[in-house]
Amino acid sequence: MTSASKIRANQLNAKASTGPKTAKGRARSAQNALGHGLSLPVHADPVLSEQVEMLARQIAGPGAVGDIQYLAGVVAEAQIDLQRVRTARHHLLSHALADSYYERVRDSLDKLKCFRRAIPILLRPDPPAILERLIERYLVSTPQGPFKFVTILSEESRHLLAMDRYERRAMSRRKFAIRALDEARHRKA
Amino acid sequence: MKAKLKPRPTSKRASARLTPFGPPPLVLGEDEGAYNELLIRVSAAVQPADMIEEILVRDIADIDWEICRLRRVKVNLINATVSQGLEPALRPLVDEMGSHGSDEERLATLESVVANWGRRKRHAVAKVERLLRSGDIGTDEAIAYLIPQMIDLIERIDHLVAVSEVRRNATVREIDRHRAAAGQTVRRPQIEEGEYQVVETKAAGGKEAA
Repeated sequence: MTSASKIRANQLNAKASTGPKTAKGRARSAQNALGHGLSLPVHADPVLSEQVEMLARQIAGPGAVGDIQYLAGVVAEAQIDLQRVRTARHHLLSHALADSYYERVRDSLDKLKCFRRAIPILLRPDPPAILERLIERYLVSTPQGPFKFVTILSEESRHLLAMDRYERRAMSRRKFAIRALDEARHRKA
Repeated sequence: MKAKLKPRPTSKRASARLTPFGPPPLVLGEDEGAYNELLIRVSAAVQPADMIEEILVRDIADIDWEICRLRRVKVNLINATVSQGLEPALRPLVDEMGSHGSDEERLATLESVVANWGRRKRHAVAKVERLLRSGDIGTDEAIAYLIPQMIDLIERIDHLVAVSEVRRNATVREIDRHRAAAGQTVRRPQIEEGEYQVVETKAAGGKEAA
């Protein structure tokens, strides 16, 4: 039997959670996973649903009925879900790489601070030319090449990690669905 | 004359389908032709026999492509970081480059030399090594000094590569397991009954073959 002091301690610990506390914050947080739509089932999207059916027919082969047809559908659903996750991750990377002005949020804020400090100097009657050029170069500089890629990996790590979780789950579902289909075919043979 | 039996290779599937698997996972600057070639070669090696194997083959190609991308980024990152670190190291020695002009012009020349060093241009490599020697620093030492500054980034990329390799190897094992369930193996090409063609051989040195 849990003691009263332990119950009170558990209640206090639960209040110390780091998640949102207000109703508005919780409502917003509940929508996080829906931003990329990956938590929605595949069949909720009619286009994906159609792709699942087409793929299931190809997996099952001609004349497949009953168990085989059903299990082929499960494999197809897992595959389309996996494809959806990978497409979302690919879009995230592609979009960021194609953005000429992509940089860390922290760097943007630092540049803003630098610009605010530089304004009084630049507004002087005769500011040093090299200073103007250096400031301009700093303000328009953004990570390029491999630095840009690792910046993206860093800045988007939270989203990439979430997508990685979805991908692992979809791969696991697909693996066991394929095994179940093989088992069913083996039994029928 | 003895007839030799030469196994006819089993028919390959048509060059790998790109649908219904979605577009190739290419980002800016990547070559679609190179990706297609990778997919075709993986497909040719595995010779998928059904839709499930085609799905897994596409997975292997995609994961391999990602691994190559990450390795390329790592190498480029090391080269770019070393190039960036060289510039401040060479700045005090810039007077010895023999260039004249204002500070800005000499800095621009230095940048150009370092950029060409990063591209492995011979004259720039020689110039940089000469300058480093004048300051009693070797190129390897300069690199060894700069690498720790990006060790976190290198480790992160290595981790992503390791995760991708595990997934690729698991996918290859899935093909093996799927084929074992259907009574086949993945890497040995199957020689089926009735797929032989007769190749006539000539007898050597006038003697009849046994």
